Amino acid sequence: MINVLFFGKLRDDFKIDQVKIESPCQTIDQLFDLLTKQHTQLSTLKDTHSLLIAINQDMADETTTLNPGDEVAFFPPVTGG
Amino acid sequence: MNKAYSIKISTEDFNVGLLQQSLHNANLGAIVTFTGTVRDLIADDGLAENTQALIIDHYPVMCQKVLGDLCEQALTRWDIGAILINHRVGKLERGEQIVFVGVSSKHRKEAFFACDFLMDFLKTKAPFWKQETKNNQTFWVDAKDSDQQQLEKWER
Repeated sequence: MINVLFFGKLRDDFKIDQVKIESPCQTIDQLFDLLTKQHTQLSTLKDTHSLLIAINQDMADETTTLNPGDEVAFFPPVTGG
Repeated sequence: MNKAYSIKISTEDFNVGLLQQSLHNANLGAIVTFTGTVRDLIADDGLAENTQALIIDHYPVMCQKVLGDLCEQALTRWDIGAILINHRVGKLERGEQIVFVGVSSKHRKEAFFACDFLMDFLKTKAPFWKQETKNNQTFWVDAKDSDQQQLEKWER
């Protein structure tokens, strides 16, 4: 299972904050496809400008391999402080 | 306290005086602090835009991890005593405090450098997001290139 989280503007734009993916999934590309199967509005997620990806709370990118139990977060550039 | 740093992320306000006092250490001669507050923004056309409210969203576990890692880096890079970081989340009004970073050290230079370093990286690496309401419109704040450029000075 992969736990997927959305934060900031992305959560508002896609109207979703969390998705659990039960199917086997090893790449971010596969994850995009599986997310779109469950929630069609996520079909444009991968085209989001300045999309940031964290895997298990560490910054990652589209080439990082996924493992069962991973937590994947999608969010825009940060604006704290 | 085993760790020389403490990170608190909360909806509750903080007391700068108490935080500064808690950084006091008889063996160290310097305490540098930074406090960020909700301000009114000035638009590109020069007109004041009243920020009516600010909501700060965050990714709790990753914020702790990123800020902890930044504190470790600062403690390795400079001869400093302790670090305190407080960051508010949730709904904030104009004038309210958002963030506090305090650093103690033997001499002032190290504490100034470490405080500046921590704020530069907090603003560009810690997963917080601001949503503003002003002139009755609500929008997510865009990240600034200028904040990103601030990181270059720490590469030297």
